Amino acid sequence: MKLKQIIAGLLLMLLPLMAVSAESASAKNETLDGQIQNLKQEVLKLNRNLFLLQEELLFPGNSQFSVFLSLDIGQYFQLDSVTLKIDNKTVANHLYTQHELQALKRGAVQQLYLGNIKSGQHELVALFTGKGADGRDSQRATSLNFDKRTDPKFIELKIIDQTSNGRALFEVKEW
Amino acid sequence: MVVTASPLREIGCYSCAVLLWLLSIQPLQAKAVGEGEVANLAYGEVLYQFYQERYFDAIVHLTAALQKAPMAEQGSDAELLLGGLYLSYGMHDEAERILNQLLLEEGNEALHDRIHFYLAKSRYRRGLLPAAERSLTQIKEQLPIAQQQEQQLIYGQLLLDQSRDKEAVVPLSNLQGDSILARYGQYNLAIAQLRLGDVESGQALLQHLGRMEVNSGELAMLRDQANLTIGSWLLQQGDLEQAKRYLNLIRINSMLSNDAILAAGWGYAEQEDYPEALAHWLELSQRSTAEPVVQDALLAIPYAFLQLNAKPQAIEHYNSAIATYQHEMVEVAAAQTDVQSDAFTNRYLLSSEAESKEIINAYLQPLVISHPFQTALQSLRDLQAIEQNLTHWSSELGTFDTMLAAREQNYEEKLPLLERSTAIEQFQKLRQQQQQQRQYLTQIRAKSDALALATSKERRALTRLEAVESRLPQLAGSVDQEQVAQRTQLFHGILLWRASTDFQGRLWGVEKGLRESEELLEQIQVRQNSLIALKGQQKAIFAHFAKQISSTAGQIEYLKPIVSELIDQQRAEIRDASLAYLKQQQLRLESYLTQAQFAIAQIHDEALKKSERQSQ
Repeated sequence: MKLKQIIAGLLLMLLPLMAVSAESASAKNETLDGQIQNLKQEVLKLNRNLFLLQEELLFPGNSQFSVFLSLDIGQYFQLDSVTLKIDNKTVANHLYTQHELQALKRGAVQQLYLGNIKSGQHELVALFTGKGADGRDSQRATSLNFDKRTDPKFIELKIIDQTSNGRALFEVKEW
Repeated sequence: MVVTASPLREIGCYSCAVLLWLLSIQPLQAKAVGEGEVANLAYGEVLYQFYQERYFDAIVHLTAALQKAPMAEQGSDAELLLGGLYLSYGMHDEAERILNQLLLEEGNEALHDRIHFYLAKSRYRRGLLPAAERSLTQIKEQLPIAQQQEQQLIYGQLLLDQSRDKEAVVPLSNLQGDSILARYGQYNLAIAQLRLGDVESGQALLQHLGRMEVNSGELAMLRDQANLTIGSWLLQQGDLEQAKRYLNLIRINSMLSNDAILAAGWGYAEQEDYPEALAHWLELSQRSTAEPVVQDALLAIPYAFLQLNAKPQAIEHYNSAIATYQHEMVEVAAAQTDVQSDAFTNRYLLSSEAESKEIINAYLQPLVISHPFQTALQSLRDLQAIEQNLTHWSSELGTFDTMLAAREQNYEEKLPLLERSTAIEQFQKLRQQQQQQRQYLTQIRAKSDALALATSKERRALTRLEAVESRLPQLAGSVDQEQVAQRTQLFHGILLWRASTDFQGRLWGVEKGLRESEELLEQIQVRQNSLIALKGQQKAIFAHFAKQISSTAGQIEYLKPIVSELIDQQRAEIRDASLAYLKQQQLRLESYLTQAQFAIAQIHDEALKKSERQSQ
């Protein structure tokens, strides 16, 4: 008698198995969920507007200057950190986490710096610290002389794997 | 939810991981790996947030970027990504709206299939089975291989959920191979076959899964599950010997081993082999007494002693069980107090995944790892993050005000300087000069006046010749007069010839210089115009900024109490679900306690009756 109860309980496992299965939400849950979704929508819109307002106020187009960083594969240089200098003044330092590196290796682009500079000629220098293809500590650098005009300026630092020589190439691209 | 008799944290973590995976939408990348070119910096930056699971920031950055400029390079991908981000952030309604909009675009079957697939997953997870099925049936087999497996698995699961076992066999039979998804599909196919009465096929498949090589905890768990299922099935058929073979394959540290030991014990008990049944249950009684299966065993042990006619031991174990149940009821009551005060929720929200198992009462762990509960907790986390976000912006808006005031002041200070640098009177004077020069050049060209474009050296020579010519009358009558006149005429002719020869070249040079000065004046004119426009607009721009800051501040203050209210409601939701779950545990323990007390009373009653019979 007891065996049958136990086995019947265990055979409830004859329900299908999957890590996540459908859930049935109560009406109360749905109402609350709907309210939360509406709130999220409002807060997201608010944040978008504030994001744009902040950019317009703090980084107006005529002086806005952004530096981005991207990796193309990223096997030949294991990036640890980047130091960014503009006109010989350090404006950004970034130490990378594994999560950030994974994101970059999947094709994402990091905004390394957003600031203001005056119109005219400037020099950008980027110093990369990491490990080379041979696993040894390595420091590389790249630079660019550029002309800032009255429109926003975007610059991309690119670390590109060169299969021809098994080394990483450090490039700067003006957008 | 994973169907197990006693799910522990392990499967909970696993469920969460798979949940993320199931919900993840893999967007097209900003660049294909190896191509080396990023098509759009803003899109790439959104991916940077997305890949780090910062869905809120990713949505804000993407919607801001789309407001500034459309992402033509990405085509539909930006919208698809946005839909995926909303799904990941728990905004199903908005996600569905965007994805359905994309379905209206014609001519991209592969994209449509991906959208139907994501919609199906999202709908299935929310229990919208008919809607999920509709999406699945609209996929035209253009999915990548990995997604096709997922599609078949979801479809099969969806049909099994509705007891449409016969139909479920079709998609589940497509899941071949040894991937995790395929293994899940094979297990579910075995279940469908057993339900349909195809015992031979179902058993064979479970036997195969029960002996498969595994290389991960996830697959090992599935193997245990298969062995427990087939073992239980065989026990039900009365085949204890065969059942033991499968139950013994379950890992001793597996979360399913308790069920296996309990079931095996009952298998022996059914064959009246009580010593062997006791051996199993006594082993089980050494494990955590918070486990329902262990609590069940505590009642089974004295039952077996009774069958062996060992009443003193039976009474001892019943008393021991009563003590254990009473102790566990105190634990449940403590958990209820913990939940009612919200201390449990707060502690859990602050803990890391590794810590959470240690700090959560054992009675709440099965609930905590369940998917609906994790979803509710995530909503609470999201709301708390929103609350912090609004507080942050409240303080930041003061900075915006300061920045706006600084810009206004800066503008007022610089305006006079700017006005001086582009003074209108000075500009008009230059413009007049330039127009005169243009007229003069036109005359020179019309008259081919080569001497007008003479070099300074030629001019000096010409001046000297003219001076000589003016003195010629003074030499009147002398022999030299004619000679000098002839020579000055000759030099004059040479000068004119030289100037005429170079005229076209000189004309082009002067024209070029004049054109450059005209362009320069045009630029000044543009700056002057923009300054005039700016003077008119700047005040309006500053006023617009000020209005935006002020209205945003009002909006933040409006949203703050709504967030607080929703946080309270969400907390209450979690609290109610927890208390309802604990109530079930409490009722179960009360039932066990009553059974144990009743059994002791029955033994004493029988002993009393026996004693009375003997005395008569």
